[in-house]
Amino acid sequence: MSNLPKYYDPETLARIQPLALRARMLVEGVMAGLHHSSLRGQSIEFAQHREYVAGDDLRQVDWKVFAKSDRFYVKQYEDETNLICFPLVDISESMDFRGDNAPLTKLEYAQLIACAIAFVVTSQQDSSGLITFDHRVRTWLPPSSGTDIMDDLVRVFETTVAEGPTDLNNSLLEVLQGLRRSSLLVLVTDGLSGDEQWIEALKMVRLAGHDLIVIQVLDQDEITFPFDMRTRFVGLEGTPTVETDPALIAAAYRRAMAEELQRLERACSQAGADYFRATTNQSLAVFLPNLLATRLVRGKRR
Amino acid sequence: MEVEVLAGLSFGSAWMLAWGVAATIPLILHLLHRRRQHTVRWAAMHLLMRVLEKESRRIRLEQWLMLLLRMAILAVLAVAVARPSWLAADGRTFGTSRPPVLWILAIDGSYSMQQSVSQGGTVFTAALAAVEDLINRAPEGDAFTVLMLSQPSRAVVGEPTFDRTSVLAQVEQLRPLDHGADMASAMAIMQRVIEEAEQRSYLPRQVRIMIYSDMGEDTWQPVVGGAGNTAWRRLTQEAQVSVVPIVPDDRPNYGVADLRLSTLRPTVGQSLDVDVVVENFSALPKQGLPVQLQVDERSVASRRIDLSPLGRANVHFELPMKSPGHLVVSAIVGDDSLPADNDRYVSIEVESVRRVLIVERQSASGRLLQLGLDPQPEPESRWRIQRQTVVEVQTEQWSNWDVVVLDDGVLLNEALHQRLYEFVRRGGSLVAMFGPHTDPESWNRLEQQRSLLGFQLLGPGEERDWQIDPLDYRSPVVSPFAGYPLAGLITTPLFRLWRIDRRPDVVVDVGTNYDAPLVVHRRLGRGAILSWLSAPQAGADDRGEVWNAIAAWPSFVPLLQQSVQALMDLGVASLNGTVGEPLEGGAVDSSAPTVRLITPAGGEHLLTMASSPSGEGHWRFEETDWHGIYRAHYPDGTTIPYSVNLHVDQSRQRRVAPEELPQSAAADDAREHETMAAGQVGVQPALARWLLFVLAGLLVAESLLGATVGRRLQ
Repeated sequence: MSNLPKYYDPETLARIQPLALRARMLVEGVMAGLHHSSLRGQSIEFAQHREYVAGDDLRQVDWKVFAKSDRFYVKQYEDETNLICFPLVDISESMDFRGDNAPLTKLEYAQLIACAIAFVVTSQQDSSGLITFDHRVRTWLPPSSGTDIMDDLVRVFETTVAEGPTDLNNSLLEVLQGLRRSSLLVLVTDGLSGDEQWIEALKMVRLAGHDLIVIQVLDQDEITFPFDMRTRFVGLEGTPTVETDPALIAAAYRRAMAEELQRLERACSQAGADYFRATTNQSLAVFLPNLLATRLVRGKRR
Repeated sequence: MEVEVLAGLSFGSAWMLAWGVAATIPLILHLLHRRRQHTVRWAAMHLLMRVLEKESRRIRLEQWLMLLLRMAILAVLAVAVARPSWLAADGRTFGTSRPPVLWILAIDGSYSMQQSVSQGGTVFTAALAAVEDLINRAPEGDAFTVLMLSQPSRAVVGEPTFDRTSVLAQVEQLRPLDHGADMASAMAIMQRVIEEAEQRSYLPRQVRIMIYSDMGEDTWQPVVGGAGNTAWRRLTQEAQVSVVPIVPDDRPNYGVADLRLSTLRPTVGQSLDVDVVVENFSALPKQGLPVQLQVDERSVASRRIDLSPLGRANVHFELPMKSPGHLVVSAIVGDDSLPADNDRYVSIEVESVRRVLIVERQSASGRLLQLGLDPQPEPESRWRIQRQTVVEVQTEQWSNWDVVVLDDGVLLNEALHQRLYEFVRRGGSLVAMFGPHTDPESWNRLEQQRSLLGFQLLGPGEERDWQIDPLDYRSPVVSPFAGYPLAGLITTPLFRLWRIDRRPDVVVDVGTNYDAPLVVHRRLGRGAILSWLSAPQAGADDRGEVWNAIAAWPSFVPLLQQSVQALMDLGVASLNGTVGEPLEGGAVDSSAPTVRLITPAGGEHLLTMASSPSGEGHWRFEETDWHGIYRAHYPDGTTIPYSVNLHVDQSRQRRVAPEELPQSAAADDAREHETMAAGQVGVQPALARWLLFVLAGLLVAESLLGATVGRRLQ
């Protein structure tokens, strides 16, 4: 465990270039974490018995049932239902923000989360794809259970430029239209589009039979608003520039931000989605185990 | 500097308005703060804009309100310290009614101010109350100096000060003195204060002089028609001068105007003639006024007299001298409205017998002098006279003698001259006779070595009929002849005398018609030397020279006796003085370091003895501000009483009317002026004071707003 933090520490990860190496380091950390936490196997839930057919792994035969019924049955587990997971990564311009004290931009942080999820999913014999979007879907990697999916993710992220405006509502609808099977969608975004329709779109995701996790990635400065001298705020995604004395509005801003976060969390809850919040200076060692323990390793919720 | 800015609005210190520029400081800081900013690329812009939209109006309002409050605080402060005043259309003045004033407050401290008034207290305490009232009611910003009219006048608070508490403390401690009041010195002090104030920019420009006096003529006559007139006019040109007359009602006042004794150095058994002059200073008659004679504060005789209005009475006492020593004879009259002039003192020294040694040129040459001093020797005579030649006196103890008389032609050697010098310094009296037998070179040589006589003998004057000039009989040597022109003094035959070159301290007692002195004296240490420059003769001497016929003339005996008496009185005369004159004394042994002097009020002063070039110790005491007995206690146990009396001129209640003052000094409207000067401000709160209230309100508002904004920012 003593080596774990370095894999998850954003400061450490930020110093590693290119993304492929950074992702590998994180993945190693995740692997080490899974090994040490013995999550593997324990999270595979028993589903039913089925009659043995030739070719089945003899290790899966339930010998107790055989002793009682004199017939061969094998145990069938939930993970065998072949989970399909899509990390949906917001690559709009607002994700390119990095505060003075943050080691990574929100997008860089989101990319690492996506890599970690993809790795965990594929390591469970499930399939993971990738969708990136801003005001519309930009990249759609079909799901794959092979290890090459990690290389695909890194390749996509390395060519990604955060520059467009966000339209979560439109992007989510577009994703729903493109999905053929029920999937686990992990939405990684800052949720700062200012458009409230996407919160309604969350419900559509659930109604369409998909499972949804919302991970809101924010910079610490966006929460604490630590500025003390007069500041010119240059808006991203085409928003205007404003000048103000931050000290005069800091308290009001912090209150408004807290309300916004609560509202999003509440909306996710109402939509049946799990909500997680991460700040870019937060160690992934804290965030990822929570995420993995609560959802991914348990598989798809019925 | 008073400047009217708008109609009716003026400022006492307009330059203080410059501080109003400071009101722009918050604005400048605000603008500077706006210029300093840094740039941030911001993602959560939708949220920020929503917050700004919601908060911007409140923030802008609070910001401007805070800015305005801070600017207003500085602006109001600048206006307040500029001492604004506002003259309303109806003539009423709001705010500081006038620019600040430098008050020069002069209180008459002459002893006539001690007169009691019917309302209780004295004229002086009434003056003090008026001064304290003015100081208390004067507005902030006024400065004060206080002086007391005295002899000479003295500054009580000499440096103008704004600290009224300390001024009041000084005024409260003032007591009138037994002096008169000298307006000339008072005006000099006032002039100095005005001139110095002009050079000190922080002091008020406007000077007002208030003089509180009982308007005694003795004080004010120099201003009305004397030498002080010019100074007064100059003063009234440079300052607003007001005289506040505090005149007591006519109440009984009597006093001892004079106390005269026939001699200050009587002998035991001698009956002293004491004349007490009692004067009624009021216009009310008095019957049966007790007059008491005291010796060393013990009553020895008393008498009752009647006094007509403003009249005088002479009361004669005969006072037998019973024992030797220093005494104080005093005369006291009954109590009245002004006690200060009710007593008078004279210090005397009583001797057992008058011991005279005549040093003869040759045996029996001094017989004339012996006869002149004691023409009819009796066993009970107060004179004890002995004649000795120069040779005989070489071994004589000088302390056995009160008076030494040197006959004409006595040749002194240096040792004898030295011994005579010491004899006089220790309090002895020396009479020196110079005539045809005198050797001027011998005397002049000795005189150059050690000045005993105080003059050089230039040579015998030409022979002629000299006529004696009694010099208005001022000297006690000839004063008994005053009023008796036929007593033989003026007609005394005088044909020749010694011309001298005298020192300034040599006093002429008897002169001649050719401006050459006949009798002179000089004080030396505790004693004195009296010189006759034409020794008495009854006819031609053994060489046939005739310088005068004094010894054959009726004036001889009284003249010689008075010479000795006056000489001896001189040693005691210094024990009697008037208020304001310094007391002086000496000790032969200058090694005695200090003299303890006890004043009439019981105050004790340790006086350090200064050593004179001749080795004699000498002390001096200047602060004779009160009349009465001052006792000097010497380390050897000797106590010598000094009598200090006051001039009774102040008691004669002649007063000057304020109208008589030149350029009338606003004397008529003094009270009105005083009321205006201090009262108006006391009744109406100054505009500046209101502004300070406003300022306090603004500060509270700024604090509350700041706290509210601060709370919201947290």
